[in-house]
Amino acid sequence: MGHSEGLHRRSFGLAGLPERTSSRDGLRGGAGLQMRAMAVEFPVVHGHPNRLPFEGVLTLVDVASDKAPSGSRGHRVVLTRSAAETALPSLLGMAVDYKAGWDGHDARQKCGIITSAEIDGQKLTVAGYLFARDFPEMEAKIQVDGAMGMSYELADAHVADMRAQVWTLTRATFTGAAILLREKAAYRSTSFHLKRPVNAGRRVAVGR
Amino acid sequence: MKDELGSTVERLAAAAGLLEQAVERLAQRQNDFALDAEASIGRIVATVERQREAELEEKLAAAEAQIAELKAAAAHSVPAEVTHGRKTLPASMVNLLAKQGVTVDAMEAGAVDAALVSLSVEQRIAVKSQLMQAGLLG
Repeated sequence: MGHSEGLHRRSFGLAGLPERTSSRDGLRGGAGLQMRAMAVEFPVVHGHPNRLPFEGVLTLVDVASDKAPSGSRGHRVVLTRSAAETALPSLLGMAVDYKAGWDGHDARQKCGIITSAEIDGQKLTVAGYLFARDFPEMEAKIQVDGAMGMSYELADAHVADMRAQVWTLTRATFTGAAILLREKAAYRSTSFHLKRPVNAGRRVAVGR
Repeated sequence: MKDELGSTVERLAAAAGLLEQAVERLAQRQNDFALDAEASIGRIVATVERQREAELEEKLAAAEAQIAELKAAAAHSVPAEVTHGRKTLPASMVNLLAKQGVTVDAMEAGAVDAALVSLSVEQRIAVKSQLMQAGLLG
């Protein structure tokens, strides 16, 4: 089961809400780790030419960034789990963008949409769709395994102590995300990859 | 009259003390407000700050160039300092050398020996000793 598909099912299975609504749930795993997930369910359109499903690790929570993000005045940052959980709803419906050179954000080059988000352990993972037909140049680049990562964009971030060497973000709102080279991301452990359409897998199996 | 003046002074001193405390509290509050205002950041993007890195790289390059220049200048300045080290050479010795046709600016061991031929051994030893102390001869 793909990651985003799993998110959708989990979310709806627990909340029992009808389709095309959003829900939010907390799961407590066997190891005592709490997981938060949220998704917006889109109606299924088989063979949609402009919907290419993706999933990725957007950032880590309670972990200091490997490098100072842009806008943090040279400080590395920690997004607290609490802040991330509170901000999770703000991620849904936000766009993913990319910049020529794959080294930053171009908020006006929106090439996809985030439809689900989840905090599992230290990973904040997202899933959604890319507008593959509108941006045909993306697919080849993105399919290089392990090369691509993600970067969030925050607004109104609250810093617990501005004088601290590593800034702790206790409150924020997600306003978007970017696909970029992992080495250009402030968190090196982010990732991004396309999901194989379920139908394509079935076709291959039948062909054998 | 004196008691009245004394009590007035005391009251004024107390009022001044209160004013000082109030000013301190206001300054502290202003500081707190400033920190609170700074605590909210408009936009953060989890991309490596290229501009800052570029600035730091530029600064590093400039610093390295400056270090190289200083090293080069220091290497060049050593002989110059030694040459100007004649400050420590007594004036009588400079005059003696001048009479022999030797200037301290362009001094070579061979030239000194040749120039001092006319002097006695003791004088030669004294001159060379002074020159060595002044750092003009190795």
